[in-house]
Amino acid sequence: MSVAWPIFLALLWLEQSPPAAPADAVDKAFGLSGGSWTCTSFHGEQKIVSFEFSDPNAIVESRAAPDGEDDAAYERRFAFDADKGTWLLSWPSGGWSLTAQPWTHARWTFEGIAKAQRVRVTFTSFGQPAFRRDVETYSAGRWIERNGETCKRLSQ
Amino acid sequence: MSRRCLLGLAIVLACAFPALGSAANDVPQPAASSEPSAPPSPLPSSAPASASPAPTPVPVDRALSLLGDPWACETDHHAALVSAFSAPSEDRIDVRTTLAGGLAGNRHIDEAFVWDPVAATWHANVAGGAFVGSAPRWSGEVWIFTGTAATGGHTYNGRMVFTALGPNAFRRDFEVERDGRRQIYSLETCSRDLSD
Repeated sequence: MSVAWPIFLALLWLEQSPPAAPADAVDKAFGLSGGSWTCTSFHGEQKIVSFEFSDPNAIVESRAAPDGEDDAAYERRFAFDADKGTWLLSWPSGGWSLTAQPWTHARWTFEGIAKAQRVRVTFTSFGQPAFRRDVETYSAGRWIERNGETCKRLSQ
Repeated sequence: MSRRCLLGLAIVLACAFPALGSAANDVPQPAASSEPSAPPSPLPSSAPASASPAPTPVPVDRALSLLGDPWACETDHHAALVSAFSAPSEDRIDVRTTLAGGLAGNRHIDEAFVWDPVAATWHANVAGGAFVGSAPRWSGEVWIFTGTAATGGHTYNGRMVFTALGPNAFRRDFEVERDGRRQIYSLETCSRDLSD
């Protein structure tokens, strides 16, 4: 057997391996990728949602209608800052940016300022197959639900 | 907490949707409980009411998976609830939901799901008639009750929809039909036994 074969196979394995988690392996955020989710909003609207690594430290969320038509305007970027140990959630179109600690417990809460208003996005894990996401704004001394959804994993 | 909320199932939570009707008259309408209770039953007669169901495989009637340990629930408006499903008999599931009431003490909301063996149908009565409806066995991902929802002094065609979110979580929506389309007016997500 040629000596080139093991090298080739090793390179092939590296190519197919998912990006390594840059932080604590129990960070559930990295479990979002690797398949699609079907999400139903609190208003009953359904979407197909995907989380894909754009680089080893960043996940891009996109969504499409159930019939497959992409929602091109929708994009969320989750970037992990390894130095700070925090996640940054940004809306490329809206200029929002929220931060969160790694997702090591049931809830993963992003908070920040957007358009002079406090915004909070909370993921609640239901284990591997599902999660809930709430989007809230802070007004008159309390958090107000703006939108939410529940998501189930479609495939992996 | 207002009376309408207490009586209207925190989940149903008519208080979240005053647009559905006047606040003064939205006490849920009591519903008659005339469901027959003869066997055969979807519930295994040998299983004690408090037995924990195996999460997999899905039982013939997924409704059984609701029994056992209480569920920690959260409404769309972040009210925290605890719901306990029990089977006092082979053809009935009772639900008691507890809301932490602070100084006023805990509040309870009761529901009953009664199995009609002739029609092979579950009949649900939620919070004294805030929702009354029926559904076949829960055999897929969703369990849909169709019936009526009494809220805001009005009665609407409505649905109560359970959606499994894996073995240890579910979502429950309450919907009414208005102007020819369905609207979710309240929902909750519930989970238990999450290991991670």
